[in-house]
Amino acid sequence: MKNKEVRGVLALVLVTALSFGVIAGSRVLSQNMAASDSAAGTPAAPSEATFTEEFDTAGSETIDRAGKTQDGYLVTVREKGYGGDIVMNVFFDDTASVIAKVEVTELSETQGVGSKIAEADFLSQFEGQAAPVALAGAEAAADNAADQAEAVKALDSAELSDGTYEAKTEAPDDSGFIDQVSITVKDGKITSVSWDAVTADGAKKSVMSENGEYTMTEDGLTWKEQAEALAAALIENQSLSSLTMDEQGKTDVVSGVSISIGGFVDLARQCLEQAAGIEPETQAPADDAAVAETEGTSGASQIDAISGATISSTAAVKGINDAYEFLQTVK
Amino acid sequence: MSQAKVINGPHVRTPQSTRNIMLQVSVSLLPALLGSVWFFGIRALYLTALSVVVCVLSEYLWQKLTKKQVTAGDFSAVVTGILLAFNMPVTVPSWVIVLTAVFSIVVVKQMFGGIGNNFVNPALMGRLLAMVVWPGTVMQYVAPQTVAADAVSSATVLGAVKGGGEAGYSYLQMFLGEVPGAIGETSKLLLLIGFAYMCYKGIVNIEAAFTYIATVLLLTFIFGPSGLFTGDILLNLLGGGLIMGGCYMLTDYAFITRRGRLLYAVTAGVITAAIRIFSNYPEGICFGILTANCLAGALSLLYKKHVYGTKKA
Repeated sequence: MKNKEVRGVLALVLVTALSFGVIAGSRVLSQNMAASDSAAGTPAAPSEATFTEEFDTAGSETIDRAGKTQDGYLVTVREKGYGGDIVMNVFFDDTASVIAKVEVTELSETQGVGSKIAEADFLSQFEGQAAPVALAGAEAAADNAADQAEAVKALDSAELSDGTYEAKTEAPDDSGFIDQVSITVKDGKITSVSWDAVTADGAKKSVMSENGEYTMTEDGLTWKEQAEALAAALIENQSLSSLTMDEQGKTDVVSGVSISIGGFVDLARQCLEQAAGIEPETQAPADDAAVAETEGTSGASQIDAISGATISSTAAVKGINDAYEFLQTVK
Repeated sequence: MSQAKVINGPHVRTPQSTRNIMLQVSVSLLPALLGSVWFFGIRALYLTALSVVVCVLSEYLWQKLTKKQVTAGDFSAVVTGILLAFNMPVTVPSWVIVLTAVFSIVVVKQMFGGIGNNFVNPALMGRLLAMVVWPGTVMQYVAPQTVAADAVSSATVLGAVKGGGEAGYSYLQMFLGEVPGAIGETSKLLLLIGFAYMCYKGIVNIEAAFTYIATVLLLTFIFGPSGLFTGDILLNLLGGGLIMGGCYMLTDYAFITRRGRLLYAVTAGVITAAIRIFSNYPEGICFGILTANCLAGALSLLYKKHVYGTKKA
């Protein structure tokens, strides 16, 4: 009996010691792997750049330090993340507008989720990009909508010269459609508006929606009816800005219209800009990301967020943009 | 009259003395205790010791005050203290440990008649109290010091996944214990070693533990997050406190019949799985076992042993 007691405890001690060996061993192993990972990817240690000229950062809340280096600029920015502060070194080239490299030196984001913003997969997206940058998706669209609304407002009072104007998106959307809008102006007034979308092999969305190939909801108006209602509303109001929409591009101004009208408003604006004799380049906002978005291209400065870590990703992007903006004020 | 007497315990029906059993359970928890120090630092040991001391002391004082037989030396309060601390994150303030320990022992255990008569697991009830009253202090899990340099609060693996994120830890890390979580339940390996020791000593019911764990895994697999049969079995097994619950919390209750015991384990498993699947709580173990505890009396009535040799009254 006594013997069994001792043997049991002994076995327990032995197995426990063994398992600690396994735990410690796995740790060393994973550290080695992490070390070789980072050796293959970005440099592990944040490069301590020497400033040839250091800027005063006292006036800025988020900028820790900034200065001119041998081959460009370095800004260390501190941004509030999900779990705490994220500190990043943002390197710019000598024009102070193109991002050369981004390093995350401190963070307390969720391990394995938000912490991924420090990994090369995420950070390498910024390399070679022109600042400012934007997260692909919601944020850029929101900025874009705001900028577009301003441009649209300006058109209301513009004088339109007669003629027929056309605009279409440059690249097909996810379903392969290229949107086309044409507007005819007579005596300074919009007299006819048409909106359609065409696939590469010439199928028209308006036709497809009528014969049932393109349906959105079983009840409600077809796409063609909605597009026509929208066009009629523009002719009636003679004002593009009256077609107000929410963040998703939906409108409640025209009854029965449930489709996103962002694309239509955008193209109609381009038509009217032609009619008003405004060069799209000068009228469009100078924001690189927004222009890229309005032109329908994927946009060079778009960054893919870490999935599941929107807050961390947004903070990283904001930090880089803060660094860029700060640099513009001091350089 | 019919002699169907509901017996709340005694916990384990073997010839061994309560004191010896509880001593062995305490010993079996030592690997996990060592692990907690390894993963979370010396504060884990301090919190566990504090919890044990308060549990034993409050049991002693209560029994003195109410002039009952003093059983504070039977190690059952030690087990409750260890389990209570094991369910807390390392960041928990000392006063929370003290208050929940007193509550567990005095209110849950002693006020219902002491060992063998308390109807729910005192440590789990204490944890539930802390979860409801001071959620900010006991739901703040931190990553082990072996993973993160400083104590950064983060969700447990199950919690992170439930919140729509990624686990962020490999199954091996979950098994070994290098994940955020409560002090004593992160390392499944060390808990299982302790469990194996208890099995060797014959002081635990393996069948109930396995039934419980299997029920939870089966149901969470069938009703997975993205449709039928899509559940992540390993994640559910290793990501949270399932092994801790099944091996140390659930088996606290002994049943007279085998069928009653298995029904009890299945009940706990179904409730745990339901909470994991449908509610906002990632774990559900606490609720599952406590609910089954409460139903234990009724369940044991369903399958009662025939008592031979008594006269019909």
